[in-house]
Amino acid sequence: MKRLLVVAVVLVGLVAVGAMAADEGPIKIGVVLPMSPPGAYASGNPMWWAVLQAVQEVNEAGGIFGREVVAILGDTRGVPEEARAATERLINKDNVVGIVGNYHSSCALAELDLFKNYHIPYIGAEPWADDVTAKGYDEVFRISITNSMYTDITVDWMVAAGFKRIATVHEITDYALGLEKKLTAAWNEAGIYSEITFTDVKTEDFTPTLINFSQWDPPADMMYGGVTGPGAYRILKQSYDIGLAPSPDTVFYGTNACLNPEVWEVAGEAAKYIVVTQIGLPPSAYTEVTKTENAKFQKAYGRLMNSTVMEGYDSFMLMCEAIKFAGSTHPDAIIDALEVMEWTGMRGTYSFLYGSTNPVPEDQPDYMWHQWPDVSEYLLQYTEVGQSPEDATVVWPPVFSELPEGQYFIPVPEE
Amino acid sequence: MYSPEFFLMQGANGLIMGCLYALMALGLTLIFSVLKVINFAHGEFYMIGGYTAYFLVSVVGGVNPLVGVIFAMAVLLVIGSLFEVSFLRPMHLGSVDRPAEYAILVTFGLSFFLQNLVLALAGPFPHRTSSFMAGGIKIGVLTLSADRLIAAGLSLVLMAALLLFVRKTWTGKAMRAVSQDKDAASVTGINPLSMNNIAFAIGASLAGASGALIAPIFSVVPDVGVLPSLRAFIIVVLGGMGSIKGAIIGGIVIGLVESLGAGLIPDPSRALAYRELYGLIIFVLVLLFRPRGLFGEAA
Repeated sequence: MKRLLVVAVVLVGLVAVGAMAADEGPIKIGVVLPMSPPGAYASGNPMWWAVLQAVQEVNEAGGIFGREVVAILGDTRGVPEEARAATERLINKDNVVGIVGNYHSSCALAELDLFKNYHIPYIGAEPWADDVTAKGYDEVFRISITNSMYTDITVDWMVAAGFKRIATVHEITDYALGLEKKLTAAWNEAGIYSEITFTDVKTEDFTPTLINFSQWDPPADMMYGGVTGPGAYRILKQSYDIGLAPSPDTVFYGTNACLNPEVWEVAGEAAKYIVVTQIGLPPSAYTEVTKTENAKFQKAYGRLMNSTVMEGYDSFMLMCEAIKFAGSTHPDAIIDALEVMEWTGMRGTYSFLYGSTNPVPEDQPDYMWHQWPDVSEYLLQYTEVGQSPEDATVVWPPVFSELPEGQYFIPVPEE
Repeated sequence: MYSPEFFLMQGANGLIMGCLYALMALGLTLIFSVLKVINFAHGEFYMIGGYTAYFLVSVVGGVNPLVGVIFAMAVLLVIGSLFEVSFLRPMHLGSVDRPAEYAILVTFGLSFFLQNLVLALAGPFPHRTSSFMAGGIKIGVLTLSADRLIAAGLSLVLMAALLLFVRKTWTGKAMRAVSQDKDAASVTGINPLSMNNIAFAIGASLAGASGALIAPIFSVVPDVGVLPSLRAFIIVVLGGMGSIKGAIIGGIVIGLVESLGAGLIPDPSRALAYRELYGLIIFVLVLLFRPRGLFGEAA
């Protein structure tokens, strides 16, 4: 009995020392991103850059509670099992007080139960799969758009534009498969005929399938290039090379990878007249933070930030603001703070409408749990080779559209 | 129903891609036949070839893309030679206990190292070398991408040059002798170590040429070599390990099967997803009925 008491006292002492150390040292926040192959490292690396900007700014402003803030990186490599391992390490070895990030939905989904089991607050930066927040975990918040929210807006545009036949290539990832289901259901409901081909995200040559689509009679109204990363540029160029789209008959719709300047380097004039979705505020509605951070990013990378980079910055800053608001690094306090606070970042004012005090009503989808509801999205169309997304023509929604009423895209001129 | 034009388009695309696949596989099979080493860094040599051409043609500028291909081949020739001397030669000198495992580990290590080195040096964004020739070339009813046609044509030229080299030159014959029997070759005055070095350097150079030829078509990123190297392994086993003829014919077969398979599969939703599978089916069938590959020699 005496020995048991001694062991108990020692254990309590160790826990107390650990807790004191955690309260006195730097505040550690974990960041999970794909930094190396086979993941989407072209997105992960700039997102990490944005996180480091946020860290610098927070520390220059005195840190949080006078303590330094440290971002600790976990490279998921875009592989779910590696994402889990990186998250375990951040939680158990680095003792982070919260985690932000993720680009790949598959990685976020693989980590969810760790956030729940270890009771670690998490803010998803860019995982689109509905299930990330639909599981209703107390610890999980998201500031990116969801597959369902994205589908609603883009399909509204396709219906308004009068598209009846859509040829589609979709990559095989958790994000894209979820999105494909939503899109197909919405197209079916709108009476739009679609034919879908799935592809590995690393595919180099899409030509065989594009040749099939080019044989359609009558031709497709739209070619949906649902591939992210470098594949987004390859499918566009190959589609253009065989005369499929963009063409006078067929509009090409690209993923938001086509907002990067590489679209011009890789696809060249093929990118003229393509339609792309921009997630975030149109330039006319940029906040002060957007303008300041964009200027820094342009200096570092020679380009404007895209929405994923903004999400990297915003998710980290939001976690810092939640800790400040909570007045503590205790997970319950951070979660409570995130549920009630508001903070304006690069993409607007963040708040989470539905949570423990205001549960998701029955007429709202499950994914609205701890989901930022005000994600803005608009569609733009390039009209010049080498054009910046900021200079492209906004074609949807009507409230932002720069086209005459009743026009929804600019057709490719007949040669 | 499918039109004749459809078959012509798919066939032409398959042939073009097949030539590029074959060139990549040729380097791998050459290295295997002489050194008895499977080079797991072959895809990264391909990637470096693409980046080297990009650097010369698009960053330095003012250089014809064809010069970029030659430059990439030269750079990879040097890299291949240095790597062989530094890391593979100890294996052939008997100073490594388990040479087979060592070769796998050292080439795997090189693969990871090169991918991450290029990611750090060149950044994460894709790049594309300027076109050999913009636009399309009309052949009968078909209009084919000029870049693809030129890349395939150059691949054929390089493959023919390699065949001439191994069949007609003393060094080529010496390499073949080493590949058949290293000890017997050394008795005749051939230095197997030199032949190992030349074979590895040429193999790496051919991978670099493939990457440089592909760079104007697909663009390059640090992990661009992963899929082509996997395909090259399949082609090499399909054609027969170490067989140059097998690699060429295997590459063209895989190119055609992938293109026609993706075009003709009844369920179009699986057309691209199963693309590698079509080649693998042929691969499994060949291994079932002819385990040494199409042109491999019996052990």
